[in-house]
Amino acid sequence: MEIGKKLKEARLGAKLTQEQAAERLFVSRQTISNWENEKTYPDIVSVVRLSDLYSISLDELLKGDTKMLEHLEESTDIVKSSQKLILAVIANIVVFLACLLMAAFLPESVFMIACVFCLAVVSMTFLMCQIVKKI
Amino acid sequence: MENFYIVFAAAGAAAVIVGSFFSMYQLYRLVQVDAECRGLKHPKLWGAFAVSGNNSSGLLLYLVGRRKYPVLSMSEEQQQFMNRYKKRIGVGFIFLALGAIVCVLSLLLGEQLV
Repeated sequence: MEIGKKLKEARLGAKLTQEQAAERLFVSRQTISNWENEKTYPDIVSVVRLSDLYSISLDELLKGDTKMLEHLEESTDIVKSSQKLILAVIANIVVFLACLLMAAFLPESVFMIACVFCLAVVSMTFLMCQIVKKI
Repeated sequence: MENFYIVFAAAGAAAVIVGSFFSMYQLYRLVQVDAECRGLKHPKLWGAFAVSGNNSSGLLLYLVGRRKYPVLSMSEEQQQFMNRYKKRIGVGFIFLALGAIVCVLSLLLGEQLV
């Protein structure tokens, strides 16, 4: 079963309204609604608090919902996101070194300049996206 | 035939301008929310600082400077806003990159092919 349905069932089992649950978790009622409708997913701290509030184990809440696990992996895997950033920096360095080497050793060609420009723009965009993701 | 490439170049340049202004504004808002969550004074100023400077140096300096200030509190709404801004910045960057490629390719290859 998906986490939204589990949360709703657990809340009803604990005889709490969305307002009461929101008050105890220090979030808005809309947030509880979003979690239950799976518009957004709770972070790991909220999942622990929800498990305490509804007296339901983390096993029951998390297991079986691949989307939720993907969300947690994405939001907590710092190593993976750092690896992407490092990859983007290395790709940029390689592209600009390649530009320098080509300019020094190969005859000037408009087609080559166009290709190198496209490559540089793509690698730069990838790098900028990775930097923004880190915010 | 020549005008055809000039039109492409102009469209590319327009996409670059729109994409860059859109990305800058979204980045300003993103940094503003981030600064608010970290309890930094004058979050709008930090937003403006992050989008200023060549080579995104403002953003990099902000990222280095904020390390001393951990996130104090972040509501679900703020988290949603930040995710939304990040997606929009990504779209803006793609728009900008495609515009730049179209513009430069039109100018470089247009002359060759005509």
